[in-house]
Amino acid sequence: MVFIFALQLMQAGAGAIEPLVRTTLEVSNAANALGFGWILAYVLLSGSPAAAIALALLEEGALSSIETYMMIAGSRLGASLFVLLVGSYYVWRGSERLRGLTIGVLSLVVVATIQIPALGVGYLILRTGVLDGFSYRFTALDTIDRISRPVIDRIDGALPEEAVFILGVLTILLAFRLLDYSLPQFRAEGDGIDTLPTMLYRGWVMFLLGMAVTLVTLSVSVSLGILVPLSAKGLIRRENLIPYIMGCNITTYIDTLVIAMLFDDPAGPVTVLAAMVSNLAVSAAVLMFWSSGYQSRINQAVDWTLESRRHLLLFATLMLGIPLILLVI
Amino acid sequence: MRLLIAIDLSPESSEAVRFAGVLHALLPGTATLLAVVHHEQERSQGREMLASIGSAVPDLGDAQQRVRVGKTADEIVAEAGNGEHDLVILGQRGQSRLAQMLIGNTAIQVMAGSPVPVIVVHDSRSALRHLLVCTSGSDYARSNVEQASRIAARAGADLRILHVMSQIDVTPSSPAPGLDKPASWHVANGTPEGEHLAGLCRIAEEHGVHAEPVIRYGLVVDEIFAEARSNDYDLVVVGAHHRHGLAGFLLDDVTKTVISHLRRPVLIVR
Repeated sequence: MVFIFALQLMQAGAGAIEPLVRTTLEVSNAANALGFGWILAYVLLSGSPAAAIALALLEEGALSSIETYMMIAGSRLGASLFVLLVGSYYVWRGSERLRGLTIGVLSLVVVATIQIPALGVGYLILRTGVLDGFSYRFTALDTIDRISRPVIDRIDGALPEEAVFILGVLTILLAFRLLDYSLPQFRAEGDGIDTLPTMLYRGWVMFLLGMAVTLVTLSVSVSLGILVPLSAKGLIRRENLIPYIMGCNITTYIDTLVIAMLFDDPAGPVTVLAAMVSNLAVSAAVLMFWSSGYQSRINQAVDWTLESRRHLLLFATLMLGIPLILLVI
Repeated sequence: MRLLIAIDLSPESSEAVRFAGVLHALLPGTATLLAVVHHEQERSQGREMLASIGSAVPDLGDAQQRVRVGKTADEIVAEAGNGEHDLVILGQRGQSRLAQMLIGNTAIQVMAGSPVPVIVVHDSRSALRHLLVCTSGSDYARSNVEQASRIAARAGADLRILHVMSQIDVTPSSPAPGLDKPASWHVANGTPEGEHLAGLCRIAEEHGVHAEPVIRYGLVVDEIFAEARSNDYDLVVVGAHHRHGLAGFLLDDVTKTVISHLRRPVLIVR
């Protein structure tokens, strides 16, 4: 109910945001949209609200399907930074070694290296229209709309459009926070699976596990956190983690898909599905044909980044600088 | 030691034969050269192949020669299982994962079916001075070390026992002592890894072989390859302890990757 209320508020105020997006920020192409979604996720400290905003802008006609897709993709790239920021805080506080950031850097690098080639696949999916047949809208919306519409109209009449949109954004942040609290606290105590830290599981096994767990948690960082009670001393093998993160990266879109189905525009769900399918296709191809090589390259990238604070600073600069550059292309 | 050397006309086979010659010279016993042909009409070709190899490698001049007809891997496994052999030696061609999926891999099929240990050879070695035993930390490593120690003792070689830790901290505050420490630290501090390696070194010492524990950090396969290349090992020993049921379905098989791509002779112990 809170989600729907938030989306309706954003929908009502999106008209005021279109000039901000198109004129002030000059989001006029796919690259700009990618950078915008990326930075927005940094600002909101989460990818899902940024993706929801993208869908609201699509609904308003402020963004095309391709631009919405890019903004959603950017929101995933920005979402991963939070894990790194938390770890960096520990490091700069001086109490932890750089190695403590491994999971954050690993998560970011895996998501980025899958997401980037997936952009091309998703673009093709949208251009060819292969998923255009998918159409679903929650019919319960009509009932909820009858209840909430008078409230929305009142707020819309009382406040400027920009304020209505901002209120919608704040409400959706609240909705995601409530969702986090309402999700079951998964505390597997490890009957059998507590061999996770010592055994090497097949890539596709961990990939499917990542997908399944994130179907419930809806968040990559929460799915990673669940691994802690499953392992002795909070250690997990890299070979298990990398495909796990790849799997998490697929079903983390589920909440965005649901939100897309709450809007009227059928292009919304198709756009989110394109993102999921493209990530799935690239991940599956990597696991089938290049698993060892991919893991080696990721490992090297992570080790390089954590070799020194200077390398880490350079990495962080890239993660902040690239979306800014994309925004001005 | 009773060696069974499986050959065909490939360059990899020649490497396997050369290495078998080195082993046969160092490890007294019998040797059998086995050629597998696909059709009965090719039997004489097989005999010619065996004769040429027998004369080209003097150390195998006294080897018995046999020809079998049928599917290569099946015939090698059948011969290995007749109770006359302690060790199978064959060549290996490097293959991509796709090629393995589409074509299959004789060495891997033999490894899976053979009742005795198998040595797979990409590139031969002229001596047997340094052996590397890889352990995942499981109890199966005892048989790996025992097998390697028997060979090392007879050959006068030394042993290094490698364990790779690829674990990372899931949270910045995970208590993870020892993730960047050498093997000596683990042994001195009695960590599970240190105790495991110390136990394996004692097994080697019982065979009169000096063994040194090594711990590396990184991806398991990458670190095995890096260690194998860095110290010029003549033989790498790994386990192929087949798991059944759900474990076999879920768990990865590092041994297959090592066999397929490591260019040192690999002894697979079951």
